[in-house]
Amino acid sequence: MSSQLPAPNADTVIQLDNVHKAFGDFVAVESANFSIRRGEFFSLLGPSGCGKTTLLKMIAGFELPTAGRVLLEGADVSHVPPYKRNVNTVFQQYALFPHMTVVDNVAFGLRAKKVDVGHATRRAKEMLDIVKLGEFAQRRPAQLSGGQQQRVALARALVNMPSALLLDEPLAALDLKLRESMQLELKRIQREVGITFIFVTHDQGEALTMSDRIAVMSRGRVEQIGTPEEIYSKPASIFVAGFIGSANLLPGAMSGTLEGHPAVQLDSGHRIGIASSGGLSDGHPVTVMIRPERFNVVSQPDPAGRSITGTVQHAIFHGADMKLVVHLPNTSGAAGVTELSATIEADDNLPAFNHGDPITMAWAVDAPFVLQGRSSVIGATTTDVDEVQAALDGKDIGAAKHAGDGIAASQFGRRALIAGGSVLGAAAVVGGVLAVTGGGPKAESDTDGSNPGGTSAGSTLGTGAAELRIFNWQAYVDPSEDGAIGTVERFSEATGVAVTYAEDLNDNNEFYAKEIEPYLGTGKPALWDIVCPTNWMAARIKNLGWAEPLPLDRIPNRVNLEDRFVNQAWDFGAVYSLPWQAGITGIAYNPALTGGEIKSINDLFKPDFKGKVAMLSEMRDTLGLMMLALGSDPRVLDEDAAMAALDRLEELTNDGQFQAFTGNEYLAGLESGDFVACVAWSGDVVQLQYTRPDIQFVIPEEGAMSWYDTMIIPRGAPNGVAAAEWMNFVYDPVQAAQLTYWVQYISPVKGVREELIKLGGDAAALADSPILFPNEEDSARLNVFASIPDDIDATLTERFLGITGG
Amino acid sequence: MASTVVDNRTQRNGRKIPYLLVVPGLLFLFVFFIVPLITLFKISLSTKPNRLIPNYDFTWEWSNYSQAFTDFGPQLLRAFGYAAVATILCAIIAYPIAYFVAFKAGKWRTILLGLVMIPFFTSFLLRTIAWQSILSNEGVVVKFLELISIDGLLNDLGIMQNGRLLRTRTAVIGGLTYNFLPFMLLPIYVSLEKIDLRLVDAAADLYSPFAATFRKVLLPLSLPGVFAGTLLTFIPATGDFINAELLGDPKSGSVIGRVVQSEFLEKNDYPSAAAISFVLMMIITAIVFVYAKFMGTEDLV
Repeated sequence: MSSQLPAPNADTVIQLDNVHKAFGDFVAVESANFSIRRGEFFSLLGPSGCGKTTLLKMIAGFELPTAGRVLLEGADVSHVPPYKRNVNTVFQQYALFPHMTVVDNVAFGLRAKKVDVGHATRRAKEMLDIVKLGEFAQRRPAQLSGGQQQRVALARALVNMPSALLLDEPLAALDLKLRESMQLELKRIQREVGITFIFVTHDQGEALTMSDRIAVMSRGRVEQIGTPEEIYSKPASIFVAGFIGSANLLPGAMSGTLEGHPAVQLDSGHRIGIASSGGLSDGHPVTVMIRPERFNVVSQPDPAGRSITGTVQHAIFHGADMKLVVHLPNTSGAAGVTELSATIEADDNLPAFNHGDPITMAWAVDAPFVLQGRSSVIGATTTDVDEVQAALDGKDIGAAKHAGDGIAASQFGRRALIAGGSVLGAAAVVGGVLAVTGGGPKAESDTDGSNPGGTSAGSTLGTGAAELRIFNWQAYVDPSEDGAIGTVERFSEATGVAVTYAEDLNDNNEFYAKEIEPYLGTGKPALWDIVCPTNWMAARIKNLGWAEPLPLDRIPNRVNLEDRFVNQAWDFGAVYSLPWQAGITGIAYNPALTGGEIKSINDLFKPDFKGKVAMLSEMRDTLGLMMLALGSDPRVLDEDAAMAALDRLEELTNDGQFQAFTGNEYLAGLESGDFVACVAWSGDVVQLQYTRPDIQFVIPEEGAMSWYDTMIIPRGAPNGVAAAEWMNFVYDPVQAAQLTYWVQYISPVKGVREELIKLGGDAAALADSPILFPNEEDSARLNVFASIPDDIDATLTERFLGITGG
Repeated sequence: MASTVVDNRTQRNGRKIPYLLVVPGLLFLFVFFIVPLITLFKISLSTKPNRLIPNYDFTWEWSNYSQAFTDFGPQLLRAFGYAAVATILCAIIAYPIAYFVAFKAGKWRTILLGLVMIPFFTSFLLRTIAWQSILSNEGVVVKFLELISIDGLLNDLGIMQNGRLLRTRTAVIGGLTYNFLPFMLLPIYVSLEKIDLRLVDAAADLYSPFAATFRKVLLPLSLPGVFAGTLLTFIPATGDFINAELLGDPKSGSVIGRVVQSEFLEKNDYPSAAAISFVLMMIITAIVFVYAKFMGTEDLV
C-alpha cells in the first residue's frame, strides 16, 4: 500500500487554505488546511455529515467557501464556476446523461471544450477501452449494469485529463463483490492515467485499501491526514482511533511508572505499562488504544503490566484467525464490565475457549497507543462486537438482513410512490382541467335540455306529465328575488303545476338545430311543452307542421291579445301562437363618445366610428336596418334589395367599420365604451338605463325593425293542457304587468299599461316610456321583416354568415 | 407430463387476462368513437335535400370536401395560424414557469402550481369573457399602453387595431394562449420534474456553462413534455371558436371552428359541417405525424 507514496518532490495540485463553509449556523467544514499532491490517491474519510462531500463540492465548484481559498494548480479558484475548473467529478449515482449514447456521454466534456467531433469521439473511445467498455459505446446508460455505468462515469471524467478527479462515494451503490473488484479497478486505472484522485468515502476499509493518503474528517474538522499506516497505528485522536479499523479504547489517567515504563491507571482499576508517555504528566486524562490483533493469549500475567485478565464471553472461529470477546471485571469497584475484542491467529496450539473461562491477554510494549482525553466509548469499538454478535446468532443475522431488505424495499416503495404520486397528481389535475373546460356549464345545460323526463309521443295534447316544460330566452321572465315572487312560482302556486323553465334559447337557428330538428324532424315528440322563438322561426316550425294548434277554449284570456298581433300572415287569427314579448331593434349609443346625437342608421357608418360600432348577429335585425338605410322596404320580399343591403354590409365590414356582430354581449361593450353605438334591442337598453341613464336608444329616422317572440306548442308536447294554462295565466293583464315591469319589453297583452299605473312607483313610470309604449308616429316607423321562403332564407343566411365571420 | 400441461394452461389463461381487461375500453372506443366517426363520414358524403329536415341521401358527395377548401380556405389558414402562434407562445411562457416551479420553487411548488391551475377550474367561457373586460378600451392594458405611449407603435405594427386591443387578431391569439397554457405547462412541468438535477451538476462539471447545459441536457430531456404540451395545445386551439367569437372582429374572428359551428347550427348543413370536420381532422393528423417524426420522441427517455 505504501509503495504508492508520491515522490517527495511531487508538486501540489490542490491546496486548501483555511477553507471554511457554514450553512447558516451549521458549520459544515471548519478551517480545512492541507494540500493534495500530484498523482496521489487521496481519500476524504468520515462518517456521513462530517463535511467530506461539502469539501469535495468546494473543490469541484458546486459550493463556494464561506471563507478561505481553494487553489488549483496554484491559482485561486474559490469563486470560479465548476465549468471553468479543470477538475472532474464522478457522481455518487453516476449522473450519466440518459438521452445520450455511452460514447456521447464520454465525449461530452471534450465537446463542451470545443474539441472537434471526430477527435472527441476518438478519444472517448480510447478512454472506453481503458475502462474496458469499448464494445458498449453505442448503448444508452439505461442498458448498462451498475458497474458498467460506474466505469462510463469514470471514463467521462478522465477523458478530459483533469488536474484532479473527484469521486463522491462512487462505489456506494455497488454490491459487495463488485465493489471489491472496482476498488482494484480504480487503482489500476489511476496508475494507468496518472491523474490525482480525490476519493470521498465513509467506508474505512475502502479508504485503507486504495489510498496513498487519507484525511479523516469528523464534524467538519479534519482530524488527521496521513498514510493508511499512520492513521491506523498512530491515530491523532480518539475519534480516528475508533473510526479506523477496530480498537479497544480504555480511558484512564497517566500514573507514574511500572517496571521502568510509564503507566496508565485505567478507570476499570487496571494499571498498565505503555511504551511512551508522549510527554504527558501524571494525572493527565488519556485513553489507551490497543488494536485487537495486538493481543496474545498467555498463560501467566506479564510482570511488567503488559497483560490483562478477564473471562471469555464469546470465541468465534474465522478460519485464519479467531475473534474473542473478553469481559474485564471492574477492579475499581465501579459497576459494569469492560468488553475487549481480540483477534488471534488460529493455530493448532490454541486452547479451547469456553464461555466464562478465565483468559489472560498480553501485548508487546509498543501495542498500547496513548491518546489524549477520555473516550466516551469504553472497550471494543462497536462495529467489531456487533460483527461477533451477528456471527454468533445465525437467526439474528437472517432477521437483520431481512429487516434491512424491508427498509430498503419500503424506502424504494415510498420513493416510487412520491415520484409516481406527483405524476399521478399532475395527471389528475390535467384531468380536472379537461373536465372543467370541456364540460362546464354548457355540459350541465345540455343534460338539462336533453332529459326528456319520460315523455310519451302523441299528436293530441298530452295531459299526463306532471310538469310543464318551457324553453325561453335568457332573462325573459321575472325571477323570485328581493321578496317578489316570480311569474313561474306564481303560476305554480295558482295552478299546482310544477314548471321546468329553461333559459337556454340563445339563437333562433341554434335553437332549431338543437331542440327542434333532431326531434320533430325525425318523428320524435318535442322535449318542451312551450317554446318561444322569434316570429319568423315560429313561422318556420308551424309551416313544417310541427306546431300544435292551441286549445283556444282553454285560453280565455287570449282576448287580451293586442289587435296588431292577431292577424299575422303566418298565423292568421293567432291559432298556433301567442306572443310572449315584442321589441324594437333600433340604435343604442353613448352620447359622450359619439359626440352628439345619432338620428340615422347611416350615422353608424361614419368614418369617425370606424371599428367602434357593433351590429347584431341576428340576420333579420341587421339586414332589416341595412335595407332601411338604403331606402328599401324590409317588410316586403325583395331578394335583390336584400342582396344590395348585404353588399353594403360586406363593404363596411371589410373596411373594418364594425367591431363585432354580437348577440346580447353588445350590452357589455356599450357599457364599457368599446362600442360607441350599436344596433340594439329596446328592452335591454331600458334595463341598462337604470344604471347608465346616459345611454340612449333611438328609433332612427329611416325606421326600425320590430319583432316578437312567440309561444308555440311543438308537436307531441307531453303536457299541452298545462301549456294552455300557462298561456292563459300570462295573458291576465295583472300577471302580464308584473312581467313587463321586470323584462321591460313591449307587452302583447291589452291592459298592461293600466295595471302598471296601478302598481305605482317605478312601474307607473314605465307607462310613459316611449319604448315600451310607442306612440302612433313611432309605431308607424316600425317594420316587421318580410316572411321569406326557406330557399331564400338559406341563401341570405349563408351570405350573412360569410360576412359576419360565423 | 400432466403437470406440464396444467402449467401451460394456467400460463395461457394468465396471458388472456390483459386482453380481457382491454375489452371494455375497446367497446367504449367502438361505440363512442368508431361508430360516430363512421356516421359522420357517411354524412360528409351525403346531401340534405331539405335543409330543415334531417334526411340525408348518401350520394358520395365528394364536392362537400372540395368545397371545404374552396369556400373556407382563409378560415382554415387563420385557425392553423392562430393555433401555431398560440402554441409557440404557450411554450415560451409555460417553459420558464414550469422550470421555476420544478427546480426553484422548493416548498412553494404545490402552492405555485395551484396558483397556475386554479383559474382554470372556472369556466372556459367565463375566462374568455373576462378577457373582454381586460382588453377593453377602458381596461388596464389599453390604458397602460396609452400611458407609456406605445399604442401608436402597436397600431402601426398591426398588434392593435384602430387603437383597440379587444376584437383583434392579437386578442384572439392572446385568449388562445391564455386558455391553453395549462395544457402546455403541466406536461413540461412533469417532464422537468423528473430530471435528475445532478445531471446539471455533471454538465457543469464537464465544462458546460448553464446555457449549454440547458441546450444539451435539460431541453432534450424535457422535450417529451414539450411535445405532449404542443399537441394538447395545438389540436384543441385549432378547432376553438370561443376565443375567435368573443375576442375577434368579423374578420379576425372568422376561423374554421366557427364555420363548423355555423354550418351545423345556423345553416343546418350537416354534410358540409361533417366534411369540414374531416378535413380539419385529416390536416391535424398529418401535421401531428410530421411533427412526431421530426421530434423523434421514441429516441428520448
